[in-house]
Amino acid sequence: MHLREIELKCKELDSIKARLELKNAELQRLGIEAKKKKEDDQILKIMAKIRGEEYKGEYELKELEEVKEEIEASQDSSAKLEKEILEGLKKLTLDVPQGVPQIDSENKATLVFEGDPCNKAVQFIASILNSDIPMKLDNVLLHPDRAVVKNVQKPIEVANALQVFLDNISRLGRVALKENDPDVEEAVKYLHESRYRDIWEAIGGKRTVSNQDLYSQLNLQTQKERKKIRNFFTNLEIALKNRFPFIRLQKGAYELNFFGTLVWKRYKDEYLKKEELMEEEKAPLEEPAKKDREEKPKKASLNNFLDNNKIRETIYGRKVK
Amino acid sequence: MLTENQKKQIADFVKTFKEKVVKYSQLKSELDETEKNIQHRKSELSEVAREERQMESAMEVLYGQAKERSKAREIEVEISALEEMSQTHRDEMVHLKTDLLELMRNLPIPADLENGKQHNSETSFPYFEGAELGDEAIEVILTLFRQEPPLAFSDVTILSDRVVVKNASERLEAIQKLVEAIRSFRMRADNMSKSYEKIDELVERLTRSKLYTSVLRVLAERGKLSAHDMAHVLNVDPRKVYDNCYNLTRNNWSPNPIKKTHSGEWELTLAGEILINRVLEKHTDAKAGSIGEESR
Repeated sequence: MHLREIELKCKELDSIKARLELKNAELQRLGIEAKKKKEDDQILKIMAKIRGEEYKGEYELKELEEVKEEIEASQDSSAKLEKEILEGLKKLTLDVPQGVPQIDSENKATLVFEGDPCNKAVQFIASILNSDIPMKLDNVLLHPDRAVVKNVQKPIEVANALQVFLDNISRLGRVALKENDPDVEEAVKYLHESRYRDIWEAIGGKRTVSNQDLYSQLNLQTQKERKKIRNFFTNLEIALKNRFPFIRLQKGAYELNFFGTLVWKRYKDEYLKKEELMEEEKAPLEEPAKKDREEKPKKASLNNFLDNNKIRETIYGRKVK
Repeated sequence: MLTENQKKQIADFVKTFKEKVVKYSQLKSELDETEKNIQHRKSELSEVAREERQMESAMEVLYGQAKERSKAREIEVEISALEEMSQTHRDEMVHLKTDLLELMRNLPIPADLENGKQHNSETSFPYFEGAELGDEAIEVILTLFRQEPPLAFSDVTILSDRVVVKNASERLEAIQKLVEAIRSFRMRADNMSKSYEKIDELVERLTRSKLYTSVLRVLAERGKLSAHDMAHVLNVDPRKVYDNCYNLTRNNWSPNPIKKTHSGEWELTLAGEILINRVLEKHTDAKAGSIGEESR
């Protein structure tokens, strides 16, 4: 789906959400009115009884029910539209200019999109990652009106980077739809079954990592032990080829790329959380409905290792508000 | 980022803590002084009593009547007053110690996370201005924790004017280590003040897995061990033991109850010691049952 189509759908989604907000406010107001009506109704009923008359109640919730139905309908359309947008991300295309991309003196290529900026669409994609705008995926920056590819020297590198970017957006769509991406799955399986599992877990989704960090984190003292770290990166690159989850920054220093972030997230969900559940197998079962409710609103950043509130609460204590 | 109001709250909390620390230190030095005095007066008493006994015998022989031991009586009265004073100091110190431990359970470590300075793999976080802990506070915390200086939890050292985190290449990693260390700090304060709610939550989680408990018990009993040796003692599959040890060092266990040593063996951390002691205290059957049986 074209970024421009996604922009239109996002605008529609925004107006549904705005309508929903209004309807929710109305529901709240009607709820208060209904409560008051119900109280009055009970008093009138007693008064009628005192007078020896029959009371025909006027209390009804028709309007309230109507608003509730409208809210439900809006929620359904919003969910449907969101799903359509995410489906669209799986086959996203960009309005980049035709021809061979130009690289400037700062080793970057700027590809301005045709037409108006797609503010809402870029905002939507960025929100999945809790990212600011421009949204950065590896060496590609996505602005509402342009894509910028950094650290490139040849036009083919620009084309390849954009292709990887679109592949990653497609994976992002799949992750958000809770679908599995075959590349991510393969990498996750390989890492869990490999003899380097402890190294991968020690890296734990950190953005940058160096051999030195890992030596100290895993207490590797001898040359023989340390060789395992170097072998991990070398063998991983050989095994996963163009799905290598890191970018080599310099000798012995790596950065987890976007694909790597997705792999780590999936790895955590697939293995670490499962192990945690197994560990707590005797814990009382939560009622499924409640569990579902709690799982849905999760929209945290993909690398939210430490939550700011938790940090503050731990370091400064609970009494500092 | 903290607001000015939050920084003020932190500084106020630290100030209250430091005021109690000063009182505690004063009381401690007064108590030491009184104890010294008691010792001094006691040795004086034995000397005086001996002299007066001799004099008493001499008087009895010479004049047929004994002389009163007046000086010894005086010293005895003095000692008894000093002992009473010492007991009062002790009682006050017990109260103050309880107050201090209670404050330590929530004591803000006033580290300014925004202004951390990194040098090689060491990150130093200064304290907020006016919220420095000071030497006396560190000394008292060490005394209450019955810990030798420095006030360190794994790679994190809490100093009078800053905290220093070693072996962290990134700021976020340093903060993560700091959080882990402060959780150990608070766990220790909880344990010393016998406030077991949070500890018991972890104990409860730990005892859901028999192998976790067994691993901690065997490490508590035998010190450092490799996964293979533990598996031998526990009579279970070494891979299973390794996986369990490994799980206990993950971020979902914070503070981690065990850690891997430089030699590749596993050992209890401070948190692990506290937890296994509490497990044994709460579950007496765990004490009685044999490790091998439990894990099977």
